[in-house]
Amino acid sequence: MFDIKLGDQGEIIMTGRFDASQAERAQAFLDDVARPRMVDLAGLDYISSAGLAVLLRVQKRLIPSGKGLKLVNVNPHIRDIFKFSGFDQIFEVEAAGKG
Amino acid sequence: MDERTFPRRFASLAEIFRFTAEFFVREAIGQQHRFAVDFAIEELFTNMVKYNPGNPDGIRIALERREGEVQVRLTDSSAEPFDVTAAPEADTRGTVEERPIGKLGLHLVKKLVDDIGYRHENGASTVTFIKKLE
Repeated sequence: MFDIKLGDQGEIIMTGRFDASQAERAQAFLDDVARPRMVDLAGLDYISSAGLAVLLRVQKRLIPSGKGLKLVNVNPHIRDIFKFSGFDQIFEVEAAGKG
Repeated sequence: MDERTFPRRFASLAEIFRFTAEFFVREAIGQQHRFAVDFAIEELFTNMVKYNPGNPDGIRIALERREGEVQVRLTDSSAEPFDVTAAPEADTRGTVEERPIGKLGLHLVKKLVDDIGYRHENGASTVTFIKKLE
């Protein structure tokens, strides 16, 4: 079960499992995000390369206008995925339990 | 060994993840190993879906608990040869503007699993990978 929504502070909240079957829905949601935002991944258990592609598309759109997405509360498995894919160099990433 | 065939569509992923979850519980394998196994299965399965849409057959997935490891095998009954083990390394450097969309799946699979093999026999493509339970 995957969910994506806006939180009370304007942050994006993703929960559950972000697999290829959810990419279209997530992309449609994020295409409406017009400015840099924090993305809270505390409840996100899983992401595949299809999810990474969605995040990268948004980052490519936002970065030219300044800052992009900041990914926070990232669990260790997903942090490894960000590291192995080099996403830790193109996104601001904050591990779970920080801040 | 647990073996099942799944319809060739992305929507099968939820059922596939239930299949692996049940296998891990039944075999008393730590849930910390599931991320890598699910990730590798998803990337290999969705590649078979994307690049061989004309095959009406489902894709067979077999899970086997062995000494200190899990072996997973995905079989596409009728497919052109595509050796996933020979896929080029993804370039994970560069700026946001320079980074291509995609091309990361097999690169990440190789990072997460301990061994991966490919064979094409009698028209069928089979990918086998090992995840050590340490």
